[in-house]
Amino acid sequence: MIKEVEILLVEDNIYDAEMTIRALKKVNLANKLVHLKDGEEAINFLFGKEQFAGRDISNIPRVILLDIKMPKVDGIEVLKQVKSNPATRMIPVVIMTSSKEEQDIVASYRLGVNSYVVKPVEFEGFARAVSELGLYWLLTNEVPLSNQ
Amino acid sequence: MTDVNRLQAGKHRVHFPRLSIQHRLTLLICALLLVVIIAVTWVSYIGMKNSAMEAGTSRLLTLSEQLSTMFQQSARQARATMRTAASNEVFLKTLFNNANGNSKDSGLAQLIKLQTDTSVVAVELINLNRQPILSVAGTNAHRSLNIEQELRATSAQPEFTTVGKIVPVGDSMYYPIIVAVTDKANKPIGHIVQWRTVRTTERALGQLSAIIGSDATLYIGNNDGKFWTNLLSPVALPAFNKTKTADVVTYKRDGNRMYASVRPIVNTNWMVMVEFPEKAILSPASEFLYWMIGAGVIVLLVSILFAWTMSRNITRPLQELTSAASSIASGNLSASVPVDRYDELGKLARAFNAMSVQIQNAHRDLEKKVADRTERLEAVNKELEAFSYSVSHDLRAPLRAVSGYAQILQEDYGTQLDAEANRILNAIMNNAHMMGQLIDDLITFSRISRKEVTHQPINMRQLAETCLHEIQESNGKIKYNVRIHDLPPCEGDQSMIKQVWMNLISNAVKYSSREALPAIEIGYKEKENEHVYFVKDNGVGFDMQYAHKLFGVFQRLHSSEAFEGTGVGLALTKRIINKHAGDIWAESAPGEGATFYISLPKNKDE
Repeated sequence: MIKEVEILLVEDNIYDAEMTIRALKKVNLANKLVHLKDGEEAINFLFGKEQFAGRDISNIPRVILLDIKMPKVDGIEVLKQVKSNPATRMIPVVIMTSSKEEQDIVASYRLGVNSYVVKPVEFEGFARAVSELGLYWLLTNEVPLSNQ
Repeated sequence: MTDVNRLQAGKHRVHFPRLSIQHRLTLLICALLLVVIIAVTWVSYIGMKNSAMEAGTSRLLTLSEQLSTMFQQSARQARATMRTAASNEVFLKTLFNNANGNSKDSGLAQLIKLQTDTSVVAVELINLNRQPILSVAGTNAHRSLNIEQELRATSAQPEFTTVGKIVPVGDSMYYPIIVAVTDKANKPIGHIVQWRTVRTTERALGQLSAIIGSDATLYIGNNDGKFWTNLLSPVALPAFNKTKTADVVTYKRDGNRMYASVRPIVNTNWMVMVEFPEKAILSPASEFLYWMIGAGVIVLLVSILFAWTMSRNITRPLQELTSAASSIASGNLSASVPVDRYDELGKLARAFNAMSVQIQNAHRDLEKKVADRTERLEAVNKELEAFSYSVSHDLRAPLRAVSGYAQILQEDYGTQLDAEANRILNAIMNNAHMMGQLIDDLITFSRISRKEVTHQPINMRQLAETCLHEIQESNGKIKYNVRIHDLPPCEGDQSMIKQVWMNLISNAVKYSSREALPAIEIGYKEKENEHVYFVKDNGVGFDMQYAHKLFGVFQRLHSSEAFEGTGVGLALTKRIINKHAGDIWAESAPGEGATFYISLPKNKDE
């Protein structure tokens, strides 16, 4: 089964987004990547609402890379909705954030996050972290064939 | 000695400190009352005894006088009878005729008349030589009894009559009544002797004792005091002692003290004696004493009850105060005592209640202040939290962009740039990395400052070894000579103390890395109240005159070209140690290595 979308990147910082995409491209994982700018867009995309009305929502991404601190709806809220909906519950969610805040880590794991990654400041480390993530969640990790 | 006990031990010494005031008051009142009762009883008993003795003595005197008069009268009667009989001329004739002829018969007839009652056992007419002329009944025993003295005395007696001394013969007692038979010239020419027996029936004695009283005993005796009888048989009387009262004597008989009044019976050779036992005399006093003791016991019992109630009344408010005070001491500040009286205790209770209200108010105010402060502190804390959250997010993102795009530039266009441009790109990336490190350290520092310290046992040796291992792994090229001594365990926050070891050991590693033979020693020094651990290196060291700058935030004694670092590590270490109530200090000289000491307080149980 070939997916239309393999990676859903939810990141408000365009520079972080660009660097993430660049790192994924280097390992050839950015072909089917969708970049959304905030949590609201992500929810609309996943559940086919507003500007994404009519999208085939059964076509779910293989992994979601989610920033926490975003305008309007933050990453924690997106995670909560994804993990509380049976249609999206099985999608692996990786939180990628600048902060090592204990409260965020605890909240994320309580809501059922699959990975929690702190973005290193230096690009080298950042790029390495992103590519490893992409490789793991797209190539190494096995998910059930049917999400239903 | 606790503070409370120290307060209790004053200079004033309290007797029987364990006795409650309630018992003490009761005891005091009863003791006082007992003394008063005993004193009053004793004084009145002595008074009663004296007056009873007086009354007894005067009764004795009166009785003996009456009895003496009574006996005197009957003696006079007997004498008169005898005198009348003796004046009959037939006896004169008989004596002249020496009991010859008719006069003898008529004389006998007259003598028989003198057997007036059964107590008369013999009647005799004797001449001056005491030769019996006529006799009625009687035995030789009577005739041989010594009555010479009485015979001689008779003529001197009024009516020429004598009542003679009582003479015991076997179980019987006899006494003579002697009358002189005189001629015309009143000269005695002979005597008539009437022998009587002292014999009284129990019934007669009973009547007598009804007159004199059952506790009194009557004795009759000769006036020479050598013979006494109780009218039934002869009795021996002990030696007398004179008493204060004249005519009253005292002596002991059968262990009992007796009082007696002795009086002569006028115109007889007899004395009469009335005897009272002391017990009988003093019986009113004894009765009074028993009565007083009974009354005293009742008064004492009543007063114990009264004193108990009274002292309860006094101590009950004290107990209430005590329990209220204890209640306040144990945290129940709303405790108060009932106020139902207006005396000193009432005032005390009112003052206590006022104090309790004051304490409550003060406590409430304090609570409110604490709550206000806590609220403000929490608000400030929240702001700080939000601030550091923003810092960690928002400062790092642009920094990452700076570092990232410089890297991208180098990757994509590095070959087109000259060496200088590449050096500048590297400088940008290095500084971005440095800035990231600073932000991380600052956030750690502020987080540690706000974090509560937990206390758990820490295996210091294991922890230090773990840290050393981690540091050496990330810094593997240089070979260090490391010695770890035995480090006793201590108590503290494991993650914080780990941070301390990480900082101290990584500093030692860092500052000795340029030495030819870098050496690190981790050890322990025992102190009385604290554990002192140290990390020693043989690195560059520092000048002790800058030691005060070691633990300030962003303070560095070496340039970052020489040794990289942000200047937060030791400030953070000091903050952690201070939060554990410990201390940190260092000893060093330039080029001679440095030793960093940390002290942590010992657990009180150790």
